[in-house]
Amino acid sequence: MFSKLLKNDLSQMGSRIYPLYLIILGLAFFAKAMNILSTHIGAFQMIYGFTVMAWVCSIIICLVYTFFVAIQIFYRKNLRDEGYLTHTLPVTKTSIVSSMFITAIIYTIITVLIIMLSVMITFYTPGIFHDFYNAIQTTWNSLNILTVIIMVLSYMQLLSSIYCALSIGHSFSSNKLAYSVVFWVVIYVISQILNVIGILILASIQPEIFYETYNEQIGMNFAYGTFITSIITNSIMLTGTYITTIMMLKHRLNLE
Amino acid sequence: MEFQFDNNSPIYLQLIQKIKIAIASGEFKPGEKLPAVRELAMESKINPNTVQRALFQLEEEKLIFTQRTNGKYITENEQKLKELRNELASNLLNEFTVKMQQLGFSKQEILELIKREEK
Amino acid sequence: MSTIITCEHVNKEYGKKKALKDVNLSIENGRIIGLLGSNGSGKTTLIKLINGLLVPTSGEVLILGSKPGVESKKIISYLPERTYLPNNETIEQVIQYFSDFYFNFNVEKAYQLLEKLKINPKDKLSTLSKGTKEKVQLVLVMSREADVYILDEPIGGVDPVARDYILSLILDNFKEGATLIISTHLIADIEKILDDVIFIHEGKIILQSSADELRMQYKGSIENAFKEVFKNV
Repeated sequence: MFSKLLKNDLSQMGSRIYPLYLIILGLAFFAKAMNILSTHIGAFQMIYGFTVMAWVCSIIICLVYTFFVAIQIFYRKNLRDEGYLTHTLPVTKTSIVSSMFITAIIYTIITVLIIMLSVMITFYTPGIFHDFYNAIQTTWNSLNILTVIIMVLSYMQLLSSIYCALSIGHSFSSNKLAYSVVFWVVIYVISQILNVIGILILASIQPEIFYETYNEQIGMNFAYGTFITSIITNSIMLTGTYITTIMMLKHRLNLE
Repeated sequence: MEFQFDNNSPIYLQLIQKIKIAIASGEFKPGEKLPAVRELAMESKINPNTVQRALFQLEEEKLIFTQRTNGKYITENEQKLKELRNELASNLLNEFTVKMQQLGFSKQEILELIKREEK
Repeated sequence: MSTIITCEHVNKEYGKKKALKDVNLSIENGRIIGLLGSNGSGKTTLIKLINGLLVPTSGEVLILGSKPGVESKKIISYLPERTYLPNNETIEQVIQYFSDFYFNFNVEKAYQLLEKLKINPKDKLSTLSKGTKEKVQLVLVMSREADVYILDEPIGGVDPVARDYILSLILDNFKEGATLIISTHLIADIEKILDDVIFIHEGKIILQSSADELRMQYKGSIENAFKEVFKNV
C-alpha cells in the first residue's frame, strides 16, 4: 500500500515539476550554444547574456516552485476537499504523511541535481566533469560533509514544521490559516530555543572556547561541536514536528 | 413486472397484495416461475429485503413455493387459487360495502343498484 | 442478522457547539437504513465519525467491534456530500487510483456505469459540470463491492427526474447483502427503499425503527411520521 501511495505522489508531483526541468536544461543548452556562436559573431554576446539571465531566473523559480508544490500538495490532499478521498483510503496516516514527505525530499534533490547539471552544461568546457570530480575530492572533508547534512536536515525540518503548523492550524473550526501561521511561529520559536539550549550545553562541555587563547584545535573542536549540536536540534525538531503532524491528522482532523 | 407503490403503508404489504392480484388475475400463471428477488426489486425500485419479506409471507400462505435452489414458483394447487380469488373478492366487497354505507346506502339499496347496473 | 456498526454514548463537540449528544445506535448488516433529519441535525458528523474522518469527543464508534481504521475503510464505501475528486485528473486516472487502493473495486462495472450515463472516461474532471461530477463520484462508490455503503445526501442538489435515476443506480448496484446507509432530508423520494429509519435532530437520536412499523404506527408515510414526531420535539 505504501508503495502505491509513493508511486502516486511521485507521479503527481513529477507532472507538475518536469516542465520546469525541461526549461532549465533547455535554457542551459541554448546559453551554451549562444556562447559558442558569440565567439564567432559578436552580436550573439548580448543574446548569450540575456539567456544566462533567463536561465538563472528559471533556476530560482524552480527552487521556489519545488518547495511551494511540496506544501501545496500536502495542504490540498490532506486538509481540503481532497482530504475526503485521502483519509478514507485504507492506509495509515503515517503512510500518507511519509509518502508525501519522501516525495518532497526526492524532488528537491532532483531539482538540485538538475540545476547542477544545467550549470555544467552552460559553462561546459572539455574536462569540466573531471575538474568537478577533482574539486569534490579535494574539498571532501568531514566538516563539509556535516555542512551538507545540516543543510539537508534543516530543509527537511522546515518542510516538516510547515506541515505540522498547517495540521495544527486546521484542527480549529475557524480562522484555520491564521492559526497555522501562529503555530508556525510557535514552532520556529521552539526550534530557536532548542538551538540556544544546544549551544549552552555545548559551551558547558567545551568551556575552553571562552577562556583559552584560540588555537586551531580548539577552533576545530568547537566547529564540530556546533555542527553536531545543530544536527541534534534539527533532528529533534524534525522528529517532533513529524510525529505531531501525524497525530494531528489522526486525532484532530477537521475537514470542512 | 413493474409495480408502483405509495409511501403511506408498509411496502411489503402492498407488494403482497399486488402479487396476489397478479396471481388471481392470471398475470402470474399457476406453476410459473417468479423473477428473482433482485430483479423484482430493481424493476419496482424497492428494497430487496422488502421483496424477500413479502415472498416469505406468500410462501407461509402457501401461494408460492421454493423448489430447492431453482427459485420460487406460483402454486398449482387449485384449492389455494380458488381461496385466493375468494379472499380478494371478499376484501373488495367489504371495502365497497363500507364505502357505500358511508354514503348512506343500506344493504338492500346496494343490491338493487347492482342489479340495475347489470342491465 | 448481526450488528455491524455501533455507537455507544457518542458525543462530538466543536468548541462550544455540540454536534452530537449521547448518540447510541446499533446498525444491523444487510439493511437499508435512512438517516433522516434536517440540515445541521448532525447527520454528516455522525457519518464522518463512522468513516474515521472525525474522532468522538467521548464515547465509542465501533465497526465490527473495532474503532474506525484501515480495516473498516477497506469495507466501507463512502460518498461525501461534496465534490472531492482531484480536479486535474481524468476519470480514467481516478478509476486507476481507486482500483489501486481498494481490492474490492470493480473496474468493469465502473466503465459500464459511465457508459450508461454517457460520460466519457477520458474527460478531465475539471471540465465536468457539478452534476456530472456527482454522478462520477456515485459511480465510483457503487463500483466497489463493499460491505457498507454510506451515502451522504446522494440526491440532495438534484432535480426530481435525476433523483429517480440515482436511486435506481444505487439499488441496482450495491453488493448483495451489504448495508446501505443513506442520509437525506428528502424523505419522500427515498422512503420506499428503506428497511429502517433513524430520525436525528440537533445532535440527538429521536427515533430508530423499522420503516414499516413506523408506517403502521403513524398510519401513513414516513414523511408524515417525521412531521408528527417533530411537532412534539
